Amino acid sequence: MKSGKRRWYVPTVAAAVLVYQIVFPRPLGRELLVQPVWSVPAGGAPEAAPAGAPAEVPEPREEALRGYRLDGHLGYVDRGGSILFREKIVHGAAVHDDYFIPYTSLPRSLAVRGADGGFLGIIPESGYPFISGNRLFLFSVDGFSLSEWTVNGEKIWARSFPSLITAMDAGSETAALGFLDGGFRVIGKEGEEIFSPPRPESRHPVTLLAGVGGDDRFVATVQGINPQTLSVFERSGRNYRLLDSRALPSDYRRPVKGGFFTPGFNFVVEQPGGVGVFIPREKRFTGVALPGVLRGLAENTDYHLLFALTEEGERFFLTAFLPSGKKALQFAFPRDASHFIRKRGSGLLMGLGSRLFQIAVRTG
Amino acid sequence: MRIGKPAAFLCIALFLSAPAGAYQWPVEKKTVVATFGQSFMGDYYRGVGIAGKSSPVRPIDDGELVFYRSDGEDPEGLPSGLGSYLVLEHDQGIRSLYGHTDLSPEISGGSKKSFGSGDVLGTVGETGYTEGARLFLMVIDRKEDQIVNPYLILPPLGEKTRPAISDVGLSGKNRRLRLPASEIVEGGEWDVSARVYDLSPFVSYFCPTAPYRIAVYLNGQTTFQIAFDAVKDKEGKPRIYPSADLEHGALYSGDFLMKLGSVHLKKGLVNLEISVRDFAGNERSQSFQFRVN
Repeated sequence: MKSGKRRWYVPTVAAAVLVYQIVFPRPLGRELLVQPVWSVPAGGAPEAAPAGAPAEVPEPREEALRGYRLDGHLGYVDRGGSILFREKIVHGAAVHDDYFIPYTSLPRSLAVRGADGGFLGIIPESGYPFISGNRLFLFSVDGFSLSEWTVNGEKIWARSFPSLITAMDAGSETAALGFLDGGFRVIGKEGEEIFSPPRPESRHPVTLLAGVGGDDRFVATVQGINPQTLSVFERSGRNYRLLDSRALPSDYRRPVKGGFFTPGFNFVVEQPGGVGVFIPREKRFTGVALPGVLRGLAENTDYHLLFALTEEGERFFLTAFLPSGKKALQFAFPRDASHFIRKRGSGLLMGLGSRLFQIAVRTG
Repeated sequence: MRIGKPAAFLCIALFLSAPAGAYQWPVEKKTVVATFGQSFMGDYYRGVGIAGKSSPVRPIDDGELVFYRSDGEDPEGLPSGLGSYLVLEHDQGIRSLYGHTDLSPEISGGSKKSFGSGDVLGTVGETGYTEGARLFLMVIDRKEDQIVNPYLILPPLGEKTRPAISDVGLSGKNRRLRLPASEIVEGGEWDVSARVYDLSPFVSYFCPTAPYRIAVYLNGQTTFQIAFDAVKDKEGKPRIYPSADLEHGALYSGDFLMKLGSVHLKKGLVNLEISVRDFAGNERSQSFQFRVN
């Protein structure tokens, strides 16, 4: 009997292991790779992908053209790395993937131009353009008023506020505004006020960051000095309810970098020595240590990765991390005053000095 | 709680009663080229503009840094017509904002947060919406939610230039009648308007600024008065407060062409007087006598 049992034991275990491997495959030996797909001079012709870059690197599944500002120029690059349009920025420019608006130091009226440089419309007012949530806004010269426009130069709405605007972010249907007096307002598609929570207690009220989640479901703000408070609200019908409010260790006196990132609508906020990530689903706040000062944030939606570009001394660091705070990878490269990192999308577009880099994330 | 007019008067009176020397001018050479209440880009100018390229900027009083923005530091950040600016908070909830200021490294580097009146915050710069190097100084009364004329708290300038009045007229009945009238005026309701400004004595070129107080008298009775003490937001519109409850469009019909209320003219000889005073106390009046039928 004993030998009969042993005879069945070995194949049974082998079959169980086989079934387990099929049902729960382990990615043995697989790890995240961040690889450049191409690198081109921001003002020149496309170059071949760097040596060693694998041919099978997946192409980003996103819009064909992407606008950028780098090294005193604005331009449009396609997914293959060809620069299709480029122009020197005289003073400033707001750049969208479909259009751009250059402006002078005294912007008295603004021409909206397409990605090919063609004329789209005129905004016949003084102010500074700002593009957020695929929407075109105009800040008044004194910073107390805001208006929204179409690319053809039609005004959708305009509003004046009792205090200087210090922070703003927009979703497709709402916009969140922060003010010097510590106020925070969420306004709707016509500029109408939807929500304005009471200011949190602080010695010096001021709003340093305002954020809107991609689908307008969440809004968040960083307000006050001593303490500095992060408040996250979730939409509930026409109103919002407080999801979380917590004192932050930071003591910033300037605009704070941060925003919502998909999926999961995690709110990332700049903090001393790194960033903090608030995960609404879990109401959890996690600190992520990063070298130097935060210069930009980006994401990769395919792998739920967040990227932080930080500056320390003469070096930049690009760190990829999970919302849980776990770091996936980090690498360093020389610092350059001219730089950007593209916030949204599955493929990462970076600018450094006078070069553009398309970076892909994959497992291998 | 919404502030009532008497409370606001009291508040402004408290400002006026602040001991001399309690606040100081932020720059040594006070080349004022724009004043509180003048028309600017379709709104009230809510501070004073002081020319002086690269002049050191000092706090109007000891204060704590509550906010600063460095122009061009974050290309993805909010644009601002104030360029690089900073905001200090002083006692009693008073805040001072210094626009178009090239910030000192102590501020832009985040190493210093409290400033004494002798500290240098930066230098007068040209960032933002400004024609030439110009400091924009704004004073905010946080407790009363209003922006206050900086002249109310700064030491007097002691200048001697009188304000100017021109182009006085009456509008109504589908016409504008320029005063002095060469004809008999029809009785009834007329709107008074005039071009009123103070001239900056600090520059050699023509630089009109807003006066401080304007009043209109009909036969000795006050029909209109405004003093540029503060701007307060009401129903989403900034208004001159508390002497008048006027939004920009209700006062200005041109850069310095002002709508100075209405008068009801009755039959007989009338006397219409416009009186304008600047903050230093220099005054100019113009009277017009005409017959109404």
